[in-house]
Amino acid sequence: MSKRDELEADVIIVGSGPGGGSLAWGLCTMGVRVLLLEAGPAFVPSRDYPQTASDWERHEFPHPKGSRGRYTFAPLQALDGSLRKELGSWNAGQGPLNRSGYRSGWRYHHVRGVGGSTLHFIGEAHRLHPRAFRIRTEHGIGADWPIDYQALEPWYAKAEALIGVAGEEEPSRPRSSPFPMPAHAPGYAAQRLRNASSLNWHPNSLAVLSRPFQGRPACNYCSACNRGCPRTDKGSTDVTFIRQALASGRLTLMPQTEAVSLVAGPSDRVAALIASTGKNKYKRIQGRFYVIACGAVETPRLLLLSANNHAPRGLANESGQVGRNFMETIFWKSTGLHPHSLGSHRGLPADLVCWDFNAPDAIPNVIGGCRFTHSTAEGGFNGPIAHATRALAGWGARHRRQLQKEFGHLLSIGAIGESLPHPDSRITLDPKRKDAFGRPLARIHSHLDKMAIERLRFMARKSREILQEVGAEELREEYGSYDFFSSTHVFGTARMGLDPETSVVNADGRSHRWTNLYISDASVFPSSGGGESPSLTIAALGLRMARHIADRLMRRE
Amino acid sequence: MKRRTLLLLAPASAAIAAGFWRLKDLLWQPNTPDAVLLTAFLDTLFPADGEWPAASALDMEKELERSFAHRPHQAKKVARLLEVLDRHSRQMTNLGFAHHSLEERERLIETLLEEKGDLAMSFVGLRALAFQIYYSHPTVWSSLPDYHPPQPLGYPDYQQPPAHV
Repeated sequence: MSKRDELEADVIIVGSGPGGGSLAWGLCTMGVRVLLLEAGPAFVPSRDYPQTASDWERHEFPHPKGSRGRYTFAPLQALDGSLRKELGSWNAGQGPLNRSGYRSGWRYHHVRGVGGSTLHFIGEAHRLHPRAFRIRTEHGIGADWPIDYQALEPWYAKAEALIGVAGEEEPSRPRSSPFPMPAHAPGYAAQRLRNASSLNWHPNSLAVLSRPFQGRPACNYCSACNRGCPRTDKGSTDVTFIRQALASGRLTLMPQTEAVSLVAGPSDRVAALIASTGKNKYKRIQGRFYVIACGAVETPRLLLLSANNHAPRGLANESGQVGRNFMETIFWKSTGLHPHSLGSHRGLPADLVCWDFNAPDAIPNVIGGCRFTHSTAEGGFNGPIAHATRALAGWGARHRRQLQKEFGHLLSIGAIGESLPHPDSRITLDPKRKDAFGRPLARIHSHLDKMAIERLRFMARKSREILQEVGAEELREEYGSYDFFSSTHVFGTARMGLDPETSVVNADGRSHRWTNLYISDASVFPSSGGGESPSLTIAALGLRMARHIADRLMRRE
Repeated sequence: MKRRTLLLLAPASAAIAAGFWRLKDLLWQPNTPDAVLLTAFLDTLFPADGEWPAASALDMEKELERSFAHRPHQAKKVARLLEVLDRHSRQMTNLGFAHHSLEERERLIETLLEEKGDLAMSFVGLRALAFQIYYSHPTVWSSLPDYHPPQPLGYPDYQQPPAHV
């Protein structure tokens, strides 16, 4: 490798999602030179996801080459047939969606690109329930966080202010300052839901602008956040943290640059990082600190792939915990037909949230909570194709007349629940399948235990009850984690903790052994929370880590 | 070989050739759907009806064919489905599927799916693809209440009851 193939920076961050992006912003604003590597491309919102075409609904978030990582699934568990009727995925248009006797690995939903998976998120910006931080102490299950809600609260507030989060104060999550943006008013369908339901519904706290902010316009309620926001009112990491970090002049952003391995050196320090910038083009990059922020599937993979004689079990894997404690998105969605036209294809994808069952012990006889949202557009029912294909049986003239009559009548309730660690849920290296560099792909192992199934049953039952209360009892589609692995939120594979025997990083996100190696993504979460979306917590941890690393740089450590 | 032997063998050869021809007919798998069959099938899923145009009025079969160019596996599956449907039609009525009235074509699709459950997944796949193309057409979606592509307008009225109510 020649001299020109070498690069240097104070801090090298791998991955530009909310963990990498917030950290880069924090460091750059404190005068630190940062090199941010991103395996995927940079997107131009107005060009790449305009949402103006007649056939917009045919296109999910655009995935050009290299914008999705490859991975495999280990065989998933056999299905308990007695639960098929209660928890099996189905819809009116296609019938049962999993006809096999096994859980099916559908997708780990993510984006490789500048901004990471916030590019296709719906903007949910949740704080974790304070009691989620001490689930082991309170319930003897899972793991405690080494920090508490109070320690993270100022960083939550800072992240919300930087992104421009809109929300409404909610008693279970104490705040030191009000939301920076007023909450979005619920849509017409959500109003009908809130008026009819016996549960407590709040405007969802969202990284979606309710007022213009820093040159970005307010939302125009088009409903298609998860296909990419062309207006940039959605606060994805590329248009918030990274845009501002670039403006500081201290950030060097390298899209389409894939970290191949970290080089563990002597004295418990990482010596360098090897990255690929194209076919047979490699760079050796050196910094004082190295931060991995690739998400709970790719981060453990990179650590395991970086094994050498200094780190024979994989980097930072002295405890054998790298890849363990994998937690997924335990989800359920029920969709019913309302007798009246609600225009439910309009508005925010998940405008109302119910936290009534979010605390770790809020579900009767189950540990680990859940939350519910009004999620008609989030589930894709914001256009005629989804309605015609999934929510209506048949075809022909009658089918079309029926669609015309009931378009905008669908109402969906979505639920996401706590996912707890299980020995059979983990990330390993695939023994056979390899990537373009000849490195093993990440292999996802997932197992739902009895408690997870019971939580899922509660989520399904409650979703149906809510639909019934609002008058949308004619079910048209239901699907969930019972027979599909389908996860956007993934956690836990490089757990944060006080004990080096049972965790990978300490309370600052630093490897217990490798003194210049940090992790800044949801891999470090000891627990998933009761259905909260993780991106705000990841960003808050990233900002907190920036302060910590900047202090160490100041002390010349 | 004597002429007499040849004459004796000729009918047998003809029978063998006919057998092969029949076998080839049974085993032959088209790679792309027959255009006439495809048009008839799509016009059965989307017949002209009041303000709604028929699939053929939107040249849907051409768009599907373009889509098949990138999905050879799906093209083969659809070709097989339509081939079986046409054979089913000839067995039931002595007429090819495309020669029937709309009502008869609907009935033929229904009876085929009842009889051959293994074709259901191919049908579901083709139905989904056809819906994607049909409901992407402005002539079609403009007849749906209060609907348009998400941008550039968005739905600033999202808090109000739908305008058509």
